Amino acid sequence: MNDRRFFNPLHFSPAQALLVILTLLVPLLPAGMTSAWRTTARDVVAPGCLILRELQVHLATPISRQLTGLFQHSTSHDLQAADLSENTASILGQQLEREREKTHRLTALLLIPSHTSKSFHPETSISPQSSRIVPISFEHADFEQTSNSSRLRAGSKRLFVADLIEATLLGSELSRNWKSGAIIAQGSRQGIEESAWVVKSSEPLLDLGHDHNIAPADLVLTAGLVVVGKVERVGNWTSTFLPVTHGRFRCRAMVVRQAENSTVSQKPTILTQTILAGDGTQTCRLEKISDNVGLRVGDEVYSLEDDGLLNRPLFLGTITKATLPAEDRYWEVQVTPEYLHPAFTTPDPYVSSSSVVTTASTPSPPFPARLSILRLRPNSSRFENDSPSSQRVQP
Amino acid sequence: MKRSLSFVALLCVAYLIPCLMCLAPDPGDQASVLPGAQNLWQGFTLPALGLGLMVLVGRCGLPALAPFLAAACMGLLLDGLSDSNRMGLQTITCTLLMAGLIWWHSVPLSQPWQWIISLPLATALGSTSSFISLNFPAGWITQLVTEVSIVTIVVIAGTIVTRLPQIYFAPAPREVFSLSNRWNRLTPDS
Repeated sequence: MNDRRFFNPLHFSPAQALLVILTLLVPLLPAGMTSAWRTTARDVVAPGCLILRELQVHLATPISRQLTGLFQHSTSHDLQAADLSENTASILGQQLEREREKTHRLTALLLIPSHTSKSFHPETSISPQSSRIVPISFEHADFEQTSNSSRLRAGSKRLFVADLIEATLLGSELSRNWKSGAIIAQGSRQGIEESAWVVKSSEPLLDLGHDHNIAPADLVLTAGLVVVGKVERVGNWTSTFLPVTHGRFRCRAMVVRQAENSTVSQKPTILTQTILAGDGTQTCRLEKISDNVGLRVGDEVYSLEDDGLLNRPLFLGTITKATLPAEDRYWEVQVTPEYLHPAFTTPDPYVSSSSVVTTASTPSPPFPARLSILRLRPNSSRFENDSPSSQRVQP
Repeated sequence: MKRSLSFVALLCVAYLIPCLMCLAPDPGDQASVLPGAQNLWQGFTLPALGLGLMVLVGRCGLPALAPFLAAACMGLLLDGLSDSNRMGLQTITCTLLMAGLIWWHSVPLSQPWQWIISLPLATALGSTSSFISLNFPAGWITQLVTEVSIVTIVVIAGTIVTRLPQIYFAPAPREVFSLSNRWNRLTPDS
């Protein structure tokens, strides 16, 4: 450019004029195109954000090390962390998993309204039917403080109480043998027979059935009170359950946002109440969330029960995708559960590859083999104390 | 080669400004230097500085269309990332402000005072347009004053930093030839 002047408004080139006209036409674009552009813009900017974030971390680390120069231990720990062996990594992974579960439990505790701690009455007597049945409050030491703090506990006993019954997930081979009748045939001489509903079902199996008073729709949880499914069919000795990602899984849920500054005093916010439904792939979806609710990726989803029997919500998953179509007034929300059942970790060959959503940034932890079933039963002590005829009631 | 590099640099600026704006600090982040840094991050401070940078880079032998195009691209990205329903507001603002900036800095060598006027003005105009679209939210004047002040400080600091080498390493001015000089040389005092 040899001209002295960089830009002369008197010599406005046609290209420049065209560009200005085009920019003036942008607001007239149809809503579909603008929403598509919004999605594209976020995708376009994502790599740049990632690079800048990495840069930010690299620049911030030396500064923070200088500032915390007195803490030589932390520096040496960092150096040691760089040489992690595989075993150490797996141990750290387990610790991380425990911490995540603890976070979910603490969030659930923070969500409890203050009055519920008064109404909660932990069942102290373990049912004589099985030594594997444990009351919730004794399963988790974190919750003891809440239950013990209630002064009104002695005065108000609940009619129904919740128990966690330990169960084991049967592996694929054992399940196959059980359903195929190989094991049942051997045991039929000793009177072992299984319900045809369970035998014919293709869903995963738990090793508890009618013998433990399991009922359909009982929730299946992990030790950290994370919902992994719901009991579908109950046999004599085993039960099938629907993982949360199953197409037929549905439950009431609430969307929760953690407090921005992670101080204990700030409670998480309940954004909305909705229905969580499995979508038959690796994720779930939330239904009918109106566009006036401000959702974002990372918001957590907890169970919502209005019976008042549980004194804390149960963790369901994390929002990994939330889009608001321009033509629709409801959000399209994708929720990734904490644990994915092996049946859903590989894409269904009958589903086209474009519809398989793989937005989870971190791989899910392995599906736990030790599970718990949440069972509600009548409060035996209540019947014993209040009514002599209650002896007939079997929990 | 120089032109190609300049054009790439222009596009980089147009791309990185929206990326930077996505990295807004958390409101409760204790590590953030400025109180309320998030508001500044989401205002027109960064785009205004980006426009100034584009004009600077665009002067390295590029036609005026190049910074125009880069500004429009940056505006489009900002529009895509914003939560506002008014699509196109940032695109139009950025393009028109770029037109104004390259007209104002049309002379090959801009004076420092030109930058100190133009970029804060661009910030004020850009912010005002968004405030109008939001129906003048509460505290908009404070926000506007803060944004303009920050851009002014940054421009003054940038001008000083870029001009320092010129001041320190500039060759000494030649002695003006005149009869009196010549006479002084011929007849020294001592």
